[in-house]
Amino acid sequence: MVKIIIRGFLILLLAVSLAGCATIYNPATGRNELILINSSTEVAIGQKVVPQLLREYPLSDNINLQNRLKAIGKRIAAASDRQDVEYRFAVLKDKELNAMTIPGGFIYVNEGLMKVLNDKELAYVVAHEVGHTAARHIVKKMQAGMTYQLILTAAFAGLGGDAGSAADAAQAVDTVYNLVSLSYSRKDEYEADRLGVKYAFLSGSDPYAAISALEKIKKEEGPNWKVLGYFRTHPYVDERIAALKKFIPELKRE
Amino acid sequence: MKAKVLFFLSGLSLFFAAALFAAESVRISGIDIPLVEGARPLHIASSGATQARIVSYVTEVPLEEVAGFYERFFKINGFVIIGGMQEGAYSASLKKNAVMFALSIYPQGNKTVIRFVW
Repeated sequence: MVKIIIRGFLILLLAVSLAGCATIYNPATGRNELILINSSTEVAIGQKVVPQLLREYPLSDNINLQNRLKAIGKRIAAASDRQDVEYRFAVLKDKELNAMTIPGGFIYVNEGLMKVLNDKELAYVVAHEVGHTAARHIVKKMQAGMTYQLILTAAFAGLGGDAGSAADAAQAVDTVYNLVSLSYSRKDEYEADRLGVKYAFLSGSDPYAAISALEKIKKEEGPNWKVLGYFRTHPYVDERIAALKKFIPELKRE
Repeated sequence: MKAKVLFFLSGLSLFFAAALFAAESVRISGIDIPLVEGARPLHIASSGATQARIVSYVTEVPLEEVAGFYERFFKINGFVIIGGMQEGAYSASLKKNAVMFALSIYPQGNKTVIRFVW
């Protein structure tokens, strides 16, 4: 018993004395962060979530839109701070003005949004989504909202499963899908905006297109802009526009 | 004075914890995963919301050798593996029956860190 108490005390002391050792530097955020989901696992989870998304929102059959998005996405991806995932871009057959990111670098933009934005504005939207991936916002959402075993269950869904685990795996993938569909925190939105204009700028696009993109989407959404489409999953638009107006001149000076 | 005491206690805890944890394997949900020879405990923690346990060891054995050691062990013992070597580090999630965990092997100075998370 005494040995167990001493051992527990020493474990605590060791953990306290070495707090921070388990963190890694994230170049996108510029911070040391505790990331427990490695990139391969994140991609594996994304691969399980994508079919679920595509059952709800099929891919657009408009080849021109698909090619336009891929061309812009390729440029933006090359500017990303995170290069250990392969970014994949696709247009969804949906009129709602929205875009979303699935774990592992799978980025989707709706037909509705593609048709409203010009290339520079679209570059910002794509770069913003790449920013969410680079900053590992979705991974952090999972770490905040799921147990580690549930996260791994989603990653291993359909791989070497036990007979009784299929339902657990489906539930785990559902949980990730639901998390992905939720809006980001204010802090994450600001960070993705800063990364978005940075990546757009580095890829040769006009960073001020970010502001016109947000204003255009808000105008297109009309009086329901706070509850519909893009601003449902990417809220705080007025504050974000104000922050971008301050940030872009600093970016250009750098 | 307080800082000195804390520093002393930290050092003492490291010494005793190293002695206590000089094990040949790490037990994860009932499965013993071997440690490379001479691996010493570095860090023990749990992560809030995920309820994950994080246990790290450090060794002088080169990273490639450590990664090879674990790759062989997992393949021989029928683990499902997601991941592998990428950008100078080994990072994978492992599954055998209902037991799942992640392993990261990465350099720290001229040493190699082995981190298990489950």
